Amino acid sequence: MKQLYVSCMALLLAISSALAQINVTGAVSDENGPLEGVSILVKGTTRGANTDESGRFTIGTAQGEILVFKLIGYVQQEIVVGSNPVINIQLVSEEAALDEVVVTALGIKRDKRSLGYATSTISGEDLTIAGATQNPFLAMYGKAAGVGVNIGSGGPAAGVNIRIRGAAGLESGTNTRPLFVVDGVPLYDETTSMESRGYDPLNSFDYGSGINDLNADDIESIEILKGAKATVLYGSQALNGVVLITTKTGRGTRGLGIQVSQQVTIDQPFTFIDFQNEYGSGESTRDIQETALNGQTVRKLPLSRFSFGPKFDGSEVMLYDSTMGIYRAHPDNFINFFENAVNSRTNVAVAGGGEMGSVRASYTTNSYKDVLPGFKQRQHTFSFNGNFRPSKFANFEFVNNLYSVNTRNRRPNIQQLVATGLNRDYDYNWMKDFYHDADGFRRNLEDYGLGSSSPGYWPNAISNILWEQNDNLDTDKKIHLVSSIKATLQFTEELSFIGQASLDYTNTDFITENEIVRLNPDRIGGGYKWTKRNTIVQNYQGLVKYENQFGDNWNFFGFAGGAYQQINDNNMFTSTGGMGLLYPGWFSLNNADISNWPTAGGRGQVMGNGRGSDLLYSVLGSATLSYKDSYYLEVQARNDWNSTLQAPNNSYFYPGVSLTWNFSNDVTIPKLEYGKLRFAWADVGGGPFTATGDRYFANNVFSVSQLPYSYGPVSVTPPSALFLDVIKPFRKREFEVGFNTRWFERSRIELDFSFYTNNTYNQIVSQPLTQATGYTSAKINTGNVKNWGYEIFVKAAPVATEKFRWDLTLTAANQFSKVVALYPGITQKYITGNSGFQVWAEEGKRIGEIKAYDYQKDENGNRIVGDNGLYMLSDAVTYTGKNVNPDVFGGLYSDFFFKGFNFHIGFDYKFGGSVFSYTNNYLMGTGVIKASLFGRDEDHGGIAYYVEEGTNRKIRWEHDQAAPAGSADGIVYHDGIILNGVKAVQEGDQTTYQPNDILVAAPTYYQTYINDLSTSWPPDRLFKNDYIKLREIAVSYTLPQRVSQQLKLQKLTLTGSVRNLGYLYKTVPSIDPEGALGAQSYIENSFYPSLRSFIFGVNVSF
Amino acid sequence: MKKILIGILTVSLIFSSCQDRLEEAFPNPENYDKTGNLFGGLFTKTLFTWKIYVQDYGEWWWEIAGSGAMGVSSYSQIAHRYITDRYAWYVDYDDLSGTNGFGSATALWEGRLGAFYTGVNTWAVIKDNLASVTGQELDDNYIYYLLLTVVKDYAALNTVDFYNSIPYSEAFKGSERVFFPKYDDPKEIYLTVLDELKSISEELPTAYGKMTASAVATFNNQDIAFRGDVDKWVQYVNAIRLKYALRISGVEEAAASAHIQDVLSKNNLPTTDMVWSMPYDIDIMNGGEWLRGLNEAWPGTFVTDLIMRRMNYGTTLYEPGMDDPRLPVIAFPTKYSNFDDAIGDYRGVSMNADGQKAGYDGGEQYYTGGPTGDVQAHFNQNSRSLYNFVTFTQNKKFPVYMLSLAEVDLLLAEIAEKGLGTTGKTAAEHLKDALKHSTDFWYTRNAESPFETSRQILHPTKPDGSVIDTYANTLVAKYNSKTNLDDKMEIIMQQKYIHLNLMCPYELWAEIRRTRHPKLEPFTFQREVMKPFPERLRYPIAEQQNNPDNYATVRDQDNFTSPIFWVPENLRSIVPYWDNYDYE
Repeated sequence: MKQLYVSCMALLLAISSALAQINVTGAVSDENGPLEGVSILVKGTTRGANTDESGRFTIGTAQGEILVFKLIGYVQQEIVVGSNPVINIQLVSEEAALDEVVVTALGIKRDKRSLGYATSTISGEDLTIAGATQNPFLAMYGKAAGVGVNIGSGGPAAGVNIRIRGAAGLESGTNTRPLFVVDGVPLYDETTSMESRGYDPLNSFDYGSGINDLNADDIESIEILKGAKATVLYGSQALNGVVLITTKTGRGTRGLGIQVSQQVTIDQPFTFIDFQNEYGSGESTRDIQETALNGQTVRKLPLSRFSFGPKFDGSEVMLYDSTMGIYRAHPDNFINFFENAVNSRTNVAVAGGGEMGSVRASYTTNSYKDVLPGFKQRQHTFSFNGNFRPSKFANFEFVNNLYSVNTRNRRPNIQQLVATGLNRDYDYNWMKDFYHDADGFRRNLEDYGLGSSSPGYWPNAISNILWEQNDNLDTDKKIHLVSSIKATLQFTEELSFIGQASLDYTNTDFITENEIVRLNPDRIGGGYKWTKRNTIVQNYQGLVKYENQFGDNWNFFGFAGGAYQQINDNNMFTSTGGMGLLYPGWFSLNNADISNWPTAGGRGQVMGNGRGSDLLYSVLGSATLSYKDSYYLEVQARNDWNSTLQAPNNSYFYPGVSLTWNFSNDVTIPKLEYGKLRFAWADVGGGPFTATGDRYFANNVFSVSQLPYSYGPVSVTPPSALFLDVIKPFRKREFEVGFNTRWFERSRIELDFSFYTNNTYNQIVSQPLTQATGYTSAKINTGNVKNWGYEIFVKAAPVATEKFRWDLTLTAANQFSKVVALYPGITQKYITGNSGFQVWAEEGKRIGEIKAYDYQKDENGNRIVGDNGLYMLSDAVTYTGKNVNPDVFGGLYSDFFFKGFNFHIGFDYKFGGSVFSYTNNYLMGTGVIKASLFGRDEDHGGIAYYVEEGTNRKIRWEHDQAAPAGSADGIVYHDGIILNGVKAVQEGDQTTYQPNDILVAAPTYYQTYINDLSTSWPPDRLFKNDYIKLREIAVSYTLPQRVSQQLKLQKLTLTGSVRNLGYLYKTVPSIDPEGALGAQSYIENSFYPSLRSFIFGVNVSF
Repeated sequence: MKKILIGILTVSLIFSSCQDRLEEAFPNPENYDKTGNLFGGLFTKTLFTWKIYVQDYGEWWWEIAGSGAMGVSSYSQIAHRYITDRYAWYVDYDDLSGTNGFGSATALWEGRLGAFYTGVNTWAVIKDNLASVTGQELDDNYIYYLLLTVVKDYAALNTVDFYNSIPYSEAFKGSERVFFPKYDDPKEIYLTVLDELKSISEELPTAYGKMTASAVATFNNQDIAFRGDVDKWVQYVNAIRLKYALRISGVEEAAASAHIQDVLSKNNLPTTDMVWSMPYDIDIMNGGEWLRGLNEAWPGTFVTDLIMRRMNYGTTLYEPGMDDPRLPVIAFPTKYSNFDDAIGDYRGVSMNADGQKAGYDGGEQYYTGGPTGDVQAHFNQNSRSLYNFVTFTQNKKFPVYMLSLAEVDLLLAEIAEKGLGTTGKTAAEHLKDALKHSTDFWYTRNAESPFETSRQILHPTKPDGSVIDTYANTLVAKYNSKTNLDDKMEIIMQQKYIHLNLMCPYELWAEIRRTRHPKLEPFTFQREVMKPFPERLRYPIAEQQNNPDNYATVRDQDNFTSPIFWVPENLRSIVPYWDNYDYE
């Protein structure tokens, strides 16, 4: 790779040395004709010229120099001089510049002022201002109102969840992801997470999806189409909004420009866990274990998932490998198990253009390492985009983005490490040297009494992780191509045709190479598996476009056409299954120990394949009528025919209409520069694939197989799901109103506000049924859920002088919901969760209400303790009054510009929404956090007691007195606590409640949190999840032009930034609270440390 | 005009071809949906469904390993871990109050209810689809409906034995939009099923007679249990009628007795063990069948003293004639065996965990490599007997069990002893039959096992008839020496324990709950003596989510301690435990 980079640099140097002096001539005009008096200056010099009355100029310059065109009232423009000695340009008036052009559905560019619905635009610069992230969406936190982003446990190279307008469904499997479109190419996308990969924890990888491959350096802008009206032309794919990504094409470039950037990122792991480092492993402070070592009795470290053991005292103790060591805490053992990772990214882009078009070629190489060693990714991105306009009649555009991504040993699920207890006694890194035996195979921990996978046996858990990450290999090698060609034929000034053919092609080889675990005494383990997966999305689309001005005031803009889409998703694998390998280090099916060939029933262990495809035909049209650029009425419609539904329900129609009033044209408000009111309505919908991610959801079939008896009996399995009616498309009907205003000169304040209300109905879901119905679920259209909310976007420039500028951007979004109706005869629906923590949709309530076990309480709300002095849980789950959905979330970004400096700081925030923190349950229950210290000894508020002979009751005593005669064991204990609450007192039939006075040992109380059964989860680990996060700080400095000129550079920028600095405020202890926004993982189980990234970058333009 | 016409034609052609392609892409290409013989296929599928007759890996794993050996086989003392105080979790062994003391939620006490409904939902599908066929097609397929009704009824009673009230009369009616079926009185379910089985046993030969030759040929193929032998099905129905009628005889004696008499009068009970082979060798490492569960949960499969002490008399070595002839095939020899002469030594694990601690700490341990480990290491290290993994865990040929002669013999013994019907023999004679049939059964299992066939100690030759007779006579003498029904029941149930053992823990659990025999060893752990006796499973939590109103009607019995309806009133207060470890 290094060689390639060197060659690129050499090429660039060759180009720059070939520069020669030339005379450039040309003409400057605006939309009305030639412009006189435009000043033209060679940047960084005093050389200049002006245009004459016909707009013409001549100037002596050199290739690579920059010409600056200036005229009052017009936007200044810079052109790099190329080899062409003629430069004709058109300047844009400042007023017209206000009329931003935005990309709307199907790539149609429209005046922003004509839009009747909300969109958010994020520029490529916004995405990379604090350095390029592993995937560009990780830089989107809080930058667009109403767009929730979150990263899953798989880390930055794994799945990222994006939800627009709080998209939520009636079941956990509901697809809430928007449609991603790159330059008109819809990407194959899917929900990915570790949880979705089955129960095999160390092989549950999150591979991410196609959007992970996108390269921030190549992105021009991202438009987010939020509402139904904005997305209506995407038909059945756009239930959850659309993210339109436009990549850089070199458009508008004159001559040749070269850009090189280099970025180094250091990812540092950190944790929010506040460990206690006073007590070691064991169930009580008296839990001292001894063993015989070389004929002597010595104290040894126990194996226990609990850390309620003896206080660390520096005494001698035998370690697990029978060496002697010190009994002490290793405060950083958890975080030190992870490492700082240094990552690098290099981008070289060459863009050029002329009269006939422009082109941009870019190459990016990115190497990523995770903080868990073993996980590496290498990514090469080639982008070759541009347009060619041979005549006024025809314009051709092409997009080619080729991604080659090789990843090895993605993050495994290491939840067992937390469940087993993050005990303080040991340095986990000790295992890094110990887990191999002398022959390099995996050490048999059984020989050391460490082999159990029971809770507390962390050596086994750590050894598993190390073996999996360092010795076994799980690679995924991906070739991903996003390609499109588009032709625009301009028949007349009014009438044109746009045709586009596009392809999203992904081929991934998943290869597993598991080493033989050991050869002696028996050969164990080893495996090889090769899976090939191929996804292809083909799109073909043709539109006829017509635009005409009628008289002075009326304008009509319309287009109509058809589209065809075919999606294929195929995979196949072969594997050695459970056969094991014969020879170490040789990974091939030929190395399988075929004496263990599976039986007929085990065919699925060694081979398998899956196929899937769906088709979508569409006709669509749009018509916009405008009056005096003040009023726009737009009507749009699309009809889809989709193979994922059965005829006649496979055809569906979506209409949409919007009205825009640019009221500042008609009404004068002081200080208001621009104002627009907008109203929109649309009814969208779609089939099962969009709704559930399962294209065969509606395919109700008996499946037939043959039992492998020699006489071949046929076995017929009826569907486990009940189909009551033929599935219909789901629908979402939305009304939206909003305004966009810009205030003060040069639009110093922009305020955009949207309010929307929608109903999603006929949702396509699996309604769980009691199995006594004979079915586990019914596949039905159900539900009418009403959602409403608002989105605010404020952009302000509080300071804007010649030298300083300060920009502020704030976004906020809020959403409410109400379940209006479910299926006839069914009034509530379980969405997701488990026995002890459940998320529900119930008629009349907000979607996502949480049920959990509560503490038993008396009529005054006091918790009741049982005879054992511990709180008792209710025997059924009830509504907690909490909801999984956030109330309000967004971001605040500030940019300060001074000379060449830019100081950038970004926050994002979320309030409301609750999460059950499984990690906190474990950390408390195993006794490894400071919060579990209270009551353990006299210093921590523990009460003294002794255990009464015969009754085993704990009787209060004094810390400094010996146990009395009635003591069962003669011991005075110091770890008593009395829980706040009441106890039941029975007198005859009468139960009264009195203040609790029953002593319990503190560890006994804390251990109530570690129950592995969700039915015993106490409700107080259900946390409200509010936070304000300091997301990013960046400082960049661009060298003054005279300096860069001397270096023969056009521009040189240095950037230093930090991402994920921490939280200014958060309500969930011990964990990174980010986990609960955007994803539907309502149960937090985040065991990986958080990453803080330090980024250093240099960006050079030639 | 011509252009318009061509245009319309082209567009309509495109549309019709589009429509075809849409419909072609609708179904999943990986599903073969041409069912062919729908009814036979549904029937076969049900016979092969896990948790009806074929036992599954997941449940057994959870039942033994996942519960820490605190599931049915453990509380019923059929198999256990070799417990000392090193297993701290046994401190909660007698906690049947919450959700964590007994079994495992997802796999057993939640899973069994759903397994019934999802396992035999094929019955409802057949019933619905039969309505659409008539004439010879109906005659050719009706037998599948009858036989699936038998399977459904058997599975229903099995489920009642776990949970007491269950949805039955309104169950399997999802397609009629009955989303919330009520819970039925369990006694009513039993009586309905017994009557239904009676009429099916009479109807089966007639239905079979109406089938064409080709339909019979298909039936022979599809019936993986009895290969189309309809008489065997009648015998099976008769036998389970006996079993379930006897089950309710303590609470509904008249109805029970009527069914028992009716069955006996037909004189058509099974003549062979009703077991059938899986279509492949069971894969104990990666397969889906129960043996994999045993393999992975092996530390919970030691033979209990409760069983061992009723098989191994005299010394701990196997002594022909004195010891139960089944001992060497049911239990695995310990390290104290005489390997040179292939004479095994067999020792069970005690429920006196404290009592066996000293021995354990003193070196009476075992090889931790499990059944797939080195057999010689087992021989060298095991001081206690696991269930013999030649016969069980490593027996890739272990058949699917439906019923056995010995099980029927033991039913008849109780019927004869209680005078619930005329069997033609005395209870003691049935007991003797049972011993012989059971000995045949277990030696056949051991002989068919392909594991370690060269080691004679693991593949003993079945003793001569005289040796079995000697032991049988001792057993009969012991039985006859008992003077009251309670003591006689103790012996019948001990024999049931030995015969069904780890193969059928759920049936044994039902029987110990019904009869309060055999009596269990008290459990002593960290000086605490515990005598827990779970009476039933708890309903799956999903019922609170998916059928809440009907669940509310049975919520008061949703615990581990409410007896099933068939436990006679006078036995309900009895917790069947010995007082100490000094028992017969």
